[in-house]
Amino acid sequence: MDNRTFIDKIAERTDRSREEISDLTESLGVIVAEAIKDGDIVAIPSVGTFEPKLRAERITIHPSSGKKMLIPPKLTINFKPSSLLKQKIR
Amino acid sequence: MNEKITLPTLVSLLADKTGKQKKQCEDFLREFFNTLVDAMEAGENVRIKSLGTFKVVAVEPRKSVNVNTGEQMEIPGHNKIVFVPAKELAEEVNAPFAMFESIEIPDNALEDPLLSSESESAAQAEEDPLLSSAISDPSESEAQAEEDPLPSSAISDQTVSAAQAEEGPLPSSAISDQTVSAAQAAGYPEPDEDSDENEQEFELENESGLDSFPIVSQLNKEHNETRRNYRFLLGFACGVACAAVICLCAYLFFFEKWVATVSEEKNTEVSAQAETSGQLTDADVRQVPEPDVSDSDKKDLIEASDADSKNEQMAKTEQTAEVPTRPSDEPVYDTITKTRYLTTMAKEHYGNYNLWPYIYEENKAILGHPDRIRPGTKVIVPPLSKYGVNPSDPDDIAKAKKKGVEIYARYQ
Repeated sequence: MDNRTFIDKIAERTDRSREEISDLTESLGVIVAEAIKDGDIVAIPSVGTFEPKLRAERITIHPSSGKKMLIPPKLTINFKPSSLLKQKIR
Repeated sequence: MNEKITLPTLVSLLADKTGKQKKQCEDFLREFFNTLVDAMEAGENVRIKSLGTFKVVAVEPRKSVNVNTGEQMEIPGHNKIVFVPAKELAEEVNAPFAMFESIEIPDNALEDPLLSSESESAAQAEEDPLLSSAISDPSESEAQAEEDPLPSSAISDQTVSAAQAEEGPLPSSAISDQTVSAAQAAGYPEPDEDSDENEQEFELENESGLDSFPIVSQLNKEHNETRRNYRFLLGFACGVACAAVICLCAYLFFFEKWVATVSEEKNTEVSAQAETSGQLTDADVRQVPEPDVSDSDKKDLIEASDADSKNEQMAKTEQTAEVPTRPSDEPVYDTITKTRYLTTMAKEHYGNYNLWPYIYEENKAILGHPDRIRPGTKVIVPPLSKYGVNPSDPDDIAKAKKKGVEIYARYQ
């Protein structure tokens, strides 16, 4: 399901315009990004949690050139589905 | 920071941001997540532009062993959720680390100035024991000086590779250790029993670990730097101390010698002084700049009386004027001292320092490495006739040199 279908579906369910839903979705993304940037966990019941995760720096070998590369540390978003959701999709 | 944002908080945040009613926002969020869950339940991948893609991925059934009972069991196939954050979201979250870039590590890390300086100081530190052993060791000779660079270079190579191996992962591993332990200590609020989860989700990374990351790395860096400085200073200090001890020994020894010579023969005083100064530099550099060959007459006198003349004398002077002080037919006992080596004895008894292997051969039962003979060791100086060697024959000298190389080869 792509972004358009998804927004259409929510608009249909909530009886609101697509633009409104699109705006809200956009804002939700910004809020989640800000929260995670601050190191907060966004926990949504029965769906799961979005949390920041630090990937440590590491040394890898470049597959094509065969050279050793030092990959810097990185902050990523980790989504951890709740057990309810996991049961549902099983 | 480190807060858990729940649905009500999210609702109020969203209401503040969009200026809409809380009720509307709550409805929206509920429907949003319901739609998301419904779609995933139907096995669909959901792509949300502002967040990312939620994929439903099938996991093949696989065999596993129960760790506790050792029983074979099969984990049934199932679906799992993989979340791939949208590019913009990922970039925004990674902003604190955005300035880092992948670095290519050169194969020969010696080119790195920091690394090479470290390895040099390490090599220096490693060299010091050798040097000090050389001081306590009477039988040091040219070979020692030749030998030194080899092990040290080997050591430096080793340290470089070790440093290279350690260089990158060291701080990060420390950090990751800490974060993992922090995560374990804090525990996760919703412990999951599902074993499949391990594949997809890594251990919860506690925020405290996240916070402490820059501090830890800074600490580590500082620690490394101070250690490097400390090691360098230590190596430098050791080197200076060794040089000072060598100089002192050489000075004391030659000063004594010089006084004795002065009391014996006043007319050779000037050349003796020249000799001592020459010898001093010899002792320091262990190389052979012979000060003056022109007045060999005077010098030969000193050399004859000088029991401890160094092994770096030129073969020419030895052959022309060196007179063995004792008849070389009967075995003579001699004692190794700090300044009296096999070569010294060979020069004194046979007239040529190159003949030292014959003394060594005679005493090989009690001697070890020719450069590591303890002071006070009593050795027999055999008559040269025993080996059928003529000290004035260049062929025999060459043979003796070969023999010396063979002796060293035994200890390689």
